[in-house]
Amino acid sequence: MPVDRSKLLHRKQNPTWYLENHRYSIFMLREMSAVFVALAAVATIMMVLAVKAGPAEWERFLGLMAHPGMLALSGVALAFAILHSVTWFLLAGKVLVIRKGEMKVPAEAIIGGHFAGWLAVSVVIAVLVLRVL
Amino acid sequence: MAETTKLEVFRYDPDAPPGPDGTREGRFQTYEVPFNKDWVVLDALNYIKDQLDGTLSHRWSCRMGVCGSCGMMVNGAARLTCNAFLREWHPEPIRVEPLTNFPVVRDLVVDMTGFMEKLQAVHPYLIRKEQGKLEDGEYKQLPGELAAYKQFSMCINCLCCYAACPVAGFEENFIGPAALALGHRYNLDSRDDGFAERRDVMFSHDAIWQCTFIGECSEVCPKKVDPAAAIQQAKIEATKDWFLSKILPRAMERTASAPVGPREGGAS
Amino acid sequence: MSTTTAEAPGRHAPAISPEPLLWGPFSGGGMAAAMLIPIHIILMCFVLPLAVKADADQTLSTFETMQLIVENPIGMVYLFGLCAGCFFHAAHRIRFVIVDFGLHGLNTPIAVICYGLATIGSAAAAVAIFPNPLNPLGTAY
Repeated sequence: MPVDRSKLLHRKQNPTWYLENHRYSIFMLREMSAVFVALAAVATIMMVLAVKAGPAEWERFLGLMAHPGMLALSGVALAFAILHSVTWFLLAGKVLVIRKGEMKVPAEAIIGGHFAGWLAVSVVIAVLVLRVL
Repeated sequence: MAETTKLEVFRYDPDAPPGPDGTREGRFQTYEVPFNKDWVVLDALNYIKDQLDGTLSHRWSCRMGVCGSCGMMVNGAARLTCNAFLREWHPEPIRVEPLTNFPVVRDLVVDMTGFMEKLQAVHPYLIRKEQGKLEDGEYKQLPGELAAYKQFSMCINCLCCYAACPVAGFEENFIGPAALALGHRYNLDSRDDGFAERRDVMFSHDAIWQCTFIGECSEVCPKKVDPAAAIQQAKIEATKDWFLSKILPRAMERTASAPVGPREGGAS
Repeated sequence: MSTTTAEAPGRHAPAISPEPLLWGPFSGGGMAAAMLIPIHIILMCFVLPLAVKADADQTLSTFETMQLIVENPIGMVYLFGLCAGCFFHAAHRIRFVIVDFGLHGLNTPIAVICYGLATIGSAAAAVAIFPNPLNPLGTAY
């Protein structure tokens, strides 16, 4: 017997669905990390302008960054940036298909490669900027 | 009666008159069933149907996680009820609802019409440019060619992934996880030439681009199909395809040459 | 069960979406941000400010290092790529967060605003980073 479509019950999705389980909530936090990624880019532009304007402006920029309120904001931004990095690399392992010969490289190897690359790139940048070598 | 467990079961009677403002509503009915540590939620529902209330409607068939008929919401999570043991929640009550994001026909039975149309739209079968002759036998594959798509071919259409997908909840036309994963499965198949056929639907606004990679579809999938990964892989393919079509339009025309349609019985 | 394929979703609007133009920069920028932003924040927001605060003599030496990076063509391309990538990555995610929070009907205007801001931000980054007559080199921030 065909379904009488006029008698179907249409249930509405909960508008606060992202609070229904912790994976939905982590997803929302993951996506909102983008706000802090964008703020970091804005700060980078300010930094470039400060350096181009000379040592006095560079000192003023560093003073602004060392302000306790700014340090607190930076801490939050760093936490979200790391959340973005970790979730991004974990998901990359599921998404990227890399073949070695006939078979796929396992997700664990792809994820491990991303984390190793992350560490290596971070060390190189730190060495360049801090001139420790 | 020995130890019991309580089931709060969603009930909806389509023949009951709608409310004064035309709205229809379901309700929850509580049943007390014997607790057996080897029982799954489906066993409890069948006990209710046989012993307590013959008016309860629910779908089921194989009782062993193969047929995909008995997907329901169990305490808010999309599950195959044949694979959800009472002991996971006992002695807490268990709330059983029809899969979310689908219209309800009656009680725990949902309407699958929309899904069936979405499934057809992605052409989930082998499409060949040239049909092989019957006497030439089957289309052969190497183990690596099989491994390329095998995971995405395990879907049993239980629809748990649609119930878990918030995007499917607010975008009625979203083609959705299972259908997109199956489309991707055929695109990955070395025997298939149907990429250009599927492209129009799979790479359209209502398909892969609606997905925000929440990933819950893959979490709830009882067959570990990982539709979320399939959709993101399809996004990479679609992006390559789009930029290539801008750079090399002539090469793209070649991939769009007319196929001859599904080979009868050829799909696996 | 009805088989009215004419109403099948996706069939009434089967045009291939131009979404790759937005998703490409989103994913490229997302990878760049994942690899680079944490160390950038650590250095720019913590290590350098606190080192200079503790020892003012380091102002000039850190300035000279930063000047080398900022005035190096490779450094310029790197900084611009990172900033533009971050902006388009963020635009894409913020667009869908707003949609997922419940404004499903406003996808298109939200997209125009988000990618528009990313374009403006990237243009500002280009002006700030590359040598050009528009760059005031002053106390612009």
